Amino acid sequence: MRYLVIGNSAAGINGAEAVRARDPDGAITIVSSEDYPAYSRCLIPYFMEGKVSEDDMLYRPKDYYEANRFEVLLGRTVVSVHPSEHAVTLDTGEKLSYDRLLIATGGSPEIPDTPGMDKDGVFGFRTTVDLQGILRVAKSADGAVVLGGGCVGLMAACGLHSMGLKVTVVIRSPHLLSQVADAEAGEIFRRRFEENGVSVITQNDVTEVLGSGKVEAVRLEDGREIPCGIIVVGKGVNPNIDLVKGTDVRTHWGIIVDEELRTSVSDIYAAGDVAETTDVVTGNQTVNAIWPAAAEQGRIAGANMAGAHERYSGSMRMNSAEFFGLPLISTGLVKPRNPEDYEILKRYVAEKNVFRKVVLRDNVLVGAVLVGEIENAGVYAALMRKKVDVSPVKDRLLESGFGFGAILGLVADQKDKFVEPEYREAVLCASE
Amino acid sequence: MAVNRKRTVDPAAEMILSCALEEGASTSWDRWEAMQPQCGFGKLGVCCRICNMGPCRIDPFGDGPQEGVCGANADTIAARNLVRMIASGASAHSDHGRDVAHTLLMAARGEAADFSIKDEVKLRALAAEYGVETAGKDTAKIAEEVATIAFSEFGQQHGELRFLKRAPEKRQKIWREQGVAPRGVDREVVQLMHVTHMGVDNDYKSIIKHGIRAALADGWGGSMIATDLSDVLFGSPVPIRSQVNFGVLDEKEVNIVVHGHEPTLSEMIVQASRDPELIELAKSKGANGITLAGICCTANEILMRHGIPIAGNFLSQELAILTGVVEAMIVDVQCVMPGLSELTKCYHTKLITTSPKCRFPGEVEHIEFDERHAMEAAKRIIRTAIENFPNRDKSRIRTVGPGMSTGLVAGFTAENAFHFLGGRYRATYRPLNNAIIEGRIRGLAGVVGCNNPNICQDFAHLEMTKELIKHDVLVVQTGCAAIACAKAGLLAPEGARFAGPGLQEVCEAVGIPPVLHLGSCVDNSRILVALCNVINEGGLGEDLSDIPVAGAAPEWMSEKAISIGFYVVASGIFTVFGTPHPVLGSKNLTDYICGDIENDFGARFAFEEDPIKAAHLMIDHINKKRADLKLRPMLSESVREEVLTAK
Amino acid sequence: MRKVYCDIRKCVSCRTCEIACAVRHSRSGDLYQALREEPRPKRLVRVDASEFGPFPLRCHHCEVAACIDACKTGATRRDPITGKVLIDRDKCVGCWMCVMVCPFGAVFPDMQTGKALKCDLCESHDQPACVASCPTRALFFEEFDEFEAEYKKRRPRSLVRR
Repeated sequence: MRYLVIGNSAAGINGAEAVRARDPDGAITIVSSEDYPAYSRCLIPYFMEGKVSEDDMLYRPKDYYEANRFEVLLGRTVVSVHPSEHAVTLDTGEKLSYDRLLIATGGSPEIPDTPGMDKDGVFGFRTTVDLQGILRVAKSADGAVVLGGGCVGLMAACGLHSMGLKVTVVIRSPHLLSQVADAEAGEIFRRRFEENGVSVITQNDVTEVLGSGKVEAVRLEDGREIPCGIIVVGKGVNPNIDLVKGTDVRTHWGIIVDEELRTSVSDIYAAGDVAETTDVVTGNQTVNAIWPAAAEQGRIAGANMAGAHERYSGSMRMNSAEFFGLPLISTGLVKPRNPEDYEILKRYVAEKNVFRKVVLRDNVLVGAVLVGEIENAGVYAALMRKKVDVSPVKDRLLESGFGFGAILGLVADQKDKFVEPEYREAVLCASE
Repeated sequence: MAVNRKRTVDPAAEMILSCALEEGASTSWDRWEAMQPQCGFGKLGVCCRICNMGPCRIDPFGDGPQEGVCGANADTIAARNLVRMIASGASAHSDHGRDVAHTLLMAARGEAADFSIKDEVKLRALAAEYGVETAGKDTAKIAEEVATIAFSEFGQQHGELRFLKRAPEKRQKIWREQGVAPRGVDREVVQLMHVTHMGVDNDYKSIIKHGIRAALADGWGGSMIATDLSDVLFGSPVPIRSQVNFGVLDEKEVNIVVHGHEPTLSEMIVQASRDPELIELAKSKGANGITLAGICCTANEILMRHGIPIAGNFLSQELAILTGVVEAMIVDVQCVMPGLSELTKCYHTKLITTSPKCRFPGEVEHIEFDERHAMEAAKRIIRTAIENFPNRDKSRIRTVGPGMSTGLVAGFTAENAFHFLGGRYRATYRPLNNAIIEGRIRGLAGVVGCNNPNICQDFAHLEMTKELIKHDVLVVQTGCAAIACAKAGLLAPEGARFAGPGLQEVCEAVGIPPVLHLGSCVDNSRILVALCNVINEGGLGEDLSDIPVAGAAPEWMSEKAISIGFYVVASGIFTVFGTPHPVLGSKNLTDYICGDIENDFGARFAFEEDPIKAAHLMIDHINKKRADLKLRPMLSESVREEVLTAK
Repeated sequence: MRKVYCDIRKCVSCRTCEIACAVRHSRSGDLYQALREEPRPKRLVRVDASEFGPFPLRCHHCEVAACIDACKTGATRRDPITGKVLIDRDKCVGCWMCVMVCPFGAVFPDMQTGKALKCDLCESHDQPACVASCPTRALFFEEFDEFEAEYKKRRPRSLVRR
């Protein structure tokens, strides 16, 4: 059996491993457009801050491919897939054939088409190529502008700041982290960024990038100009689906997959930032581009490629980060477009930089944000995923000590939802 | 173990607590929740730290060790731990009594010029009791001799404490037979610490006896001396009207809160707060005047004697600071939370310590209160408070408004309480006894004690008291329990509407509330004296254990409560505690103090957290005592019976 | 796979397990010295309150471990021989993804060191420290089926008051 995995990151690696675990003899080939062994792109900001070395960024040890008997082709992009031929074409012209294919091509940063955005010095914040570019340009820049107030943008801001650059974050929204947190939380972080010397400009945007050939400044909507040598864009990613254009592989924003991570074409699977899965909370098909989801999807897709029939229960929107020592975890639907249809509970203690918010619909948790005190965040995620009726503990959801102990009763009463074997102890103890 | 969600039934406290939540201030309630779950070994009383062969723990489930390293079992360990709580509680009360005796002595000798004898009548009564000749002596001389004798009770080595003779003969006989008649206050506490040392008393019943002796040295010794001599020095209380709860704090005035226990300090503060110069100073700072309010027992002392309003009880102490309008909180000793100094760092309130016994680390102002220069210290304290008035952070004022305070009547004592029942000419217990005999009043109950975050603040006091008075039980209260029920209006005559028909009738006829405020925690001794008077009056038995009476401490917190519980039970009165003593790890000890101890002392303990159930334990007990005395059935019940038989 | 289970009917929340765990994971392994260490030794089990009694919250080394999927650096892996889910402290960067997904809240974010901490079943010891130290023998290191069978047979004295 020949397995082909397009992608060398969270989904691709976990997929390949899952195949190998089930099929010790199959031929597994990994192709990646990035010319770099499997690394964690999330560690790019940590590298910039000097917290990890280049070697530390590797997601797997150096002898990994050898040890697992993976053939690996780095620096080669798959430009098209030919499902009926069970083959793909690379940018080099080469053709590779497969029996089973896993598309884990991820996504590419969305770069706005603002005039001047094509100058040298504009980067996404996703790959080692971005990193190398940033390092190169940073040598001669003293200012940086970051577009995007989400986790990626702010991580870039912290990274650039730690390299000694004067950083300005420019965002459209009225507050930072508007996709994942409320104004209060945004305010906590804005204070923290500004205390550390990073400027934040809200409700604004870059109308033009100035400079001759390379970035020298940006002009904002209000006419202000900010001198800078680097622009980093953290405004989301678009799934890399070009390779299946024109085929029967159904796409929408991403590649559509079922609960076994199969695409509409047999023998072709998709996982990770390229795949559109069912969002557990909203029920919509969407791409939740986050590392844990990609890893889990890859793992399940890989197992299924090798003959299993594992079900993927769906993805969740989630993110965790820490900016200047202040942690944030956001899970699920935290900024519903129509808040009147939800029950929203908040606790904000400005002096302690603590913010906690939960969103419920019909007594089921659909979203939670924790700033400052992040312990037990996963308990909220489990309640969301399992659609547990939390009415017995609703008045405790905002407590800083809310955790598994508080939901022991729920586990016992709704044990049909808590099916994993690890809950058996709790069910036993709570049934007396 | 469910974590308490509702923290208080006091609406003013609720209001202030919600502000605390917003500001991120931590209170004892937060710290209690963070402490959950609390260690079971501690709660069960089977953790022993008495010697360095330990610390030892007895496995309450029987699987692990059943003896400590020395061989002590759960009974010995729990008993030793329990009576050490008596030692501490008795010490607190007794040291207080000692200080009052010492102040009286100094006042009598002219060494404490700011103090004077306010109740000569009581002084002479005490003199008679102590066998002091009064002919030809002036007040100061009599006071000196009385104070000297009282003072000597603390260091007495042999004989018996004098006030034991107030008890009925039968009760004194029981004490002597059981070997628990205390010889001297300090001696009993020292002996208690001795017998609980490693390798001394290893028999739990014997240990409890030693504990009882020390507790009696508190109730009939330290506390009683404190009460009686405070009456002499500061005046015996008479019924007086006042207000309770945070609504008594006035945003436009300099607010000073006194907190702690000893009236020697608070009496001076009361006087100093009326000083015209200081009032002028307050006005010069922009205030209308000075408002004085109290927390805990010192509050009760100045309430009883001067009608000074009360800001709150034990759990309210941090909330006072959170109002943002308290210029100074002046503390002396006992029940003063260490957490206060953290809070005062974030608010303008100045915490001022006055006693060398109660100090805080860090920069907390200490103005030592010395009886010799009492008024000087008091004025200095008030001045410091006034100077702090301009420092208020106007953006953080959280007053609850004048609506958040309730009227009450306080000032009842063993001497005067039943004066009213007897009419204005002669203090007599006859009407009270008759009311009980005839079935108008079912019996008496003392609902006393503290607050504790392990139960919703004031909830148990209120529910229990309402249930008792509904069943025609006349309730007397002291301490934080009295403050709790006062906040809900039960200590005002209007509270009679919650009372059953018999009690209501009596209250309305005489004009008293259904719940009588007898004072501070040392004033629990007033209950003992009142019960002695009930026996002396006749018709309700010959010993204190014959009286239809029960005691309760539904929200107890302090070691003083354990001491009080034991002296009350050892005096023959059935007593219910809310959460149990830390003894449940020893079945034998628990069974003894909740059972067989009754064979020895005529009374026992019960533990019941549900205040209604606890009230009914007391009512059932009272009914049993009524039956034993062959009293007529309750009037309210016999009317019904007549009606039914008529049909 | 043997894991740590608790018969909560016998737990009195003395937290001896917490102390023993922290000391076992300290540099010195000694209680008195551990108190002086920097960074402070941390407990990897936490006794929580629940309506059924105290609940010692610890990692369950799940068969399908969300923390492994979530780990951005590959620090969290399963030991191929013992089956234990372990966090490589050196690789961990404190991104808190594992905290975000652990359904038990059993991964503790250590703000002092910036590392994610969780029970490692006392990697190189025979018996986990918590189990060895429990004074009421409420903790067990065994297969779940064994634990369940014994649990049902055991009838510990009830400590609910009279």
